[in-house]
Amino acid sequence: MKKKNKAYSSLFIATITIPTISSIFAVRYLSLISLIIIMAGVLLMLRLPIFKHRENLWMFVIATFATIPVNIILVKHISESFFFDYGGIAIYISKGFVIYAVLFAVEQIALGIITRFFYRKQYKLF
Amino acid sequence: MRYPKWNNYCAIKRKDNAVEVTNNLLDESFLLPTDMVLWGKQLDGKTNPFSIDPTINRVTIRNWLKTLDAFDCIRRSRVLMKAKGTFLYSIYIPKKITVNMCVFFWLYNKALQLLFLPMLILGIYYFSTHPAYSSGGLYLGFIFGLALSMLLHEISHACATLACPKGRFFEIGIGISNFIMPIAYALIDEKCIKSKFQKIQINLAGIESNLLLCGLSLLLAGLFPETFSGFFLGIAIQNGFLGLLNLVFCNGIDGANVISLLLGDNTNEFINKSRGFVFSKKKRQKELNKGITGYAIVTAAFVFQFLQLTLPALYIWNVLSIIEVFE
Repeated sequence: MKKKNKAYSSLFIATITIPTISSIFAVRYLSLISLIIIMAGVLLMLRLPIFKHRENLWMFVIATFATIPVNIILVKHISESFFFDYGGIAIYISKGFVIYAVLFAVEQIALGIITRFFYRKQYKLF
Repeated sequence: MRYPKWNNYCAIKRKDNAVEVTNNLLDESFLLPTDMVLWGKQLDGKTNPFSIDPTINRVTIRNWLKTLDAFDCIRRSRVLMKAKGTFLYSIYIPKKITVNMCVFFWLYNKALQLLFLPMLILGIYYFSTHPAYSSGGLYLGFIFGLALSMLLHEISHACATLACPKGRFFEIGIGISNFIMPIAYALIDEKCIKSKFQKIQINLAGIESNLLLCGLSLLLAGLFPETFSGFFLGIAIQNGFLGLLNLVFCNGIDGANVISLLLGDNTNEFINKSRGFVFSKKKRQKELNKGITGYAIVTAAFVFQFLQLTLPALYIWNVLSIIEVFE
């Protein structure tokens, strides 16, 4: 039982850290294609028994952490390109938070719909 | 509306000795006498209640009107809600939806699904290669764009609902929320729709229409750079903002409903339960004891509740920007 829990914990940490680290490299080359490949990999990973019938939930959790590096760079880029640079730290933080929330929502909804398309039979959450 | 009218969001179902009235707006059901309800259904806002059935005496009619009013089965004006800081006014209450109209709604829904993204990409690409050089009409575009984006958003929700056989649409209206914010609303009922993808499309239809209009406006701004570019740019900006901001995972917003449907079963289920997991240690511990899935659910709940700060952050950004302008 202990060995099984250790295996599951390692698998969980791996599924979060591998996409996150990969997206740091995606950030360096600003290649959204590599992020798409990472998410496709996550979709395949969802075939593992631990994620069975809860694929949307796990995609949400994994994508939350995996997209942090890319989203931070995108927020900086969007903030500088489309909004005037003015005001103090409060405006900077609130503006960044809103842009991050919008980017996060777009990614999660797109990934959620794709995941639901591939994995139709899922358990109820509650 | 001169006389009282039966609220079309109240559905009736005959039982043994009474009628079950379901208020789809408040999600409540109650039993009322059959003769009262059947008489009440004839109230159309144009006919004097006392002349519908002359055989019924006036005292009975007055009592029925009082009872139906108390149960929110009838309305006396087009005002749907009047509370502190909130005012909602119906602008269109449909009479009857025919099969031919449903075909139109189905086509409109499909067109939205297929065209919004290509139109948005085309619009952004064309505008970036043919930038506008007249800012005249920009503020007029903002005002017109705001009104158009809000109405089109709600009309698209209604059309997407009517494209589904079991979807029901009650009314569309406009109003004010929190004393200053103009809003539009569409009263729909998607409870009887079984398909999750159809429910998701109903919630996304408004956003798709805004993004489609954003793309179209950018295209037009690029096509007419000398004359109307400012006006179309204003419309594009308003629609873009409204479409994107409706995606965020804040309670009551379309994006939250979509993610709730993707993660759970019903529109508000995940939203309501996530609050409990974050603020109640007992509920959180009970979920965590279920194993690794419980940990995932609690993590998702924390992320979701953290994102509720998006709207307050947006208000702070706007207020500080206005202060910055006047400084």
